[in-house]
Amino acid sequence: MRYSNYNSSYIIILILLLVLSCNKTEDKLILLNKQIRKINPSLLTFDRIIIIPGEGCGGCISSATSYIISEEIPQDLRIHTVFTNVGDYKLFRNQIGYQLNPEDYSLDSSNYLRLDKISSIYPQLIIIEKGKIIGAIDFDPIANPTLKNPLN
Amino acid sequence: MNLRKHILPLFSLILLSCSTISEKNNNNEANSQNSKALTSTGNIEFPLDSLTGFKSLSFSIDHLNDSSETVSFINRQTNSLYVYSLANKQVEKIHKFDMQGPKGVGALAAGSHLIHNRDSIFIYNPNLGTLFLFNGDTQLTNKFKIVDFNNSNLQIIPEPIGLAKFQIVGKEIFFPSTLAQPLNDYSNTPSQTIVNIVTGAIRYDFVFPKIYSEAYWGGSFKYFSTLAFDGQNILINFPIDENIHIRNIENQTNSKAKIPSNQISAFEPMDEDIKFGTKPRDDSFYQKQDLYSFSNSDFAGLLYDQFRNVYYRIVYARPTLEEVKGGDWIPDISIITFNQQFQILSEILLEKEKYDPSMIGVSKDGLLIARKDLYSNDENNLTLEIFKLQ
Repeated sequence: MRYSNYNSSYIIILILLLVLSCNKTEDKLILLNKQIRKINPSLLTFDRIIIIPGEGCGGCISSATSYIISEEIPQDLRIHTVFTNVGDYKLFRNQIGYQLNPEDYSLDSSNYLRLDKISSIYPQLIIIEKGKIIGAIDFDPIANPTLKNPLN
Repeated sequence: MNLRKHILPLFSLILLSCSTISEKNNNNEANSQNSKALTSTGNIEFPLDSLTGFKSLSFSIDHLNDSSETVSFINRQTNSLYVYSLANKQVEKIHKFDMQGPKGVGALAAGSHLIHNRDSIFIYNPNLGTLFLFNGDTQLTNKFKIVDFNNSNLQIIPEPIGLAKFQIVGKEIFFPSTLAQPLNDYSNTPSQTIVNIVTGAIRYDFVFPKIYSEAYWGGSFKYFSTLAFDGQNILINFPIDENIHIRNIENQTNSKAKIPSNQISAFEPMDEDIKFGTKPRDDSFYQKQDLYSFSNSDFAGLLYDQFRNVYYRIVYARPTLEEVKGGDWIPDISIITFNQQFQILSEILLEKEKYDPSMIGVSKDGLLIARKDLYSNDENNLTLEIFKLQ
């Protein structure tokens, strides 16, 4: 009887922990949905959003930026890039902006994505289905050049 | 035992032990007398080319040995040092540095500089732990390896940046230094790395004040000391200490003076247990540390004004915790002006929306502070606002 009680308690604790950690991820996705809408509600019509921070992991940012400038991005997905925490718009335009089609990127001028719960020093890949963000992961174009959904 | 013959020496010993560091009686309270205040008197503009943005982590205004003045900054996009004449506001020289090769200085994204004179330009790359000396023609004339990254006994590593500039005092260069790792006691830990530029010898000095050994104070920049030199005294500013620590270079005596701020009522540690910094860390540690560090105000820098014989202590009046969580990390700047008797003359608060908190320097005309809001309207110019003591 004692063994069975212990087993049940253990399972309940495990389930609680699982639920709590899922809630944390869900909170982040809900917040991301809200903040991306503030930048432009139509961004949620894309299949993928790549968020590139202005400051952070330098190598990661360079790699993600080179990827979106290159011809290698998949053509079967609708992709948009959001640059956030851009320190200097003049330098951004001179170094990156002129290489991109203006329809393919947005600038988070109000830093909506700088909120503590969703900001990151790494580029992020946002997965969108039916107009809603269902996933957000650190983006490495070398590991995931086809931008596939790791949740599938 | 004849006690009498022991009383006098005992008494003297007690007196001496109570007064190893003298305190200046400057009667400063947080509410200053406002006898003189820094007042804005106008702006000056410097043209920026298409490769140059606004922000530089190494910005300096220097008075050279021929009485001319320069405004200079590292342009990390082009790995260059731009030097402007303050008199005619034009580019005087652009020193372009190789990243690799025999004259290579590496990438200067976090690099800093010091113009001693037009033919002595120091460049420091913290990622290489190396100090480079160039002449006016951008020829490398010397280099000093300051940090041995393989030395596991390193306590501090030079990392001058922003207001924490490296400075020349005589034949030595003083480097503000960051901790190699948090410690459980700072009573014997120096805060400055000092390099003799004639011999290349390295020493360490200026022990952390007692407050650092009493608790854990958050991110490494809370442990950065900044230095000002007035020709006779070295003054050291610590971010979480109201006191300025003073060393007279002639007789090597130490003293301190209280220079508080209206913006800081008390220092609250991140954790009252100093060992918090050395305990095993979970995933949330750095986020919590950032939230604490960027929402607690501190003393960020110290400048000496040789033209008016005053000092400026720079306070970062940081946003609230809720503001930091909302993505607002930038501080307002408060500037305390005090004189050589360590009496506070004034304190003024400047808005973060207008002023850059680290692009500040002293010229003959006054205290110059970079205006970031004006750059947003005109990307072809760097505007500095002049503040005079009136």
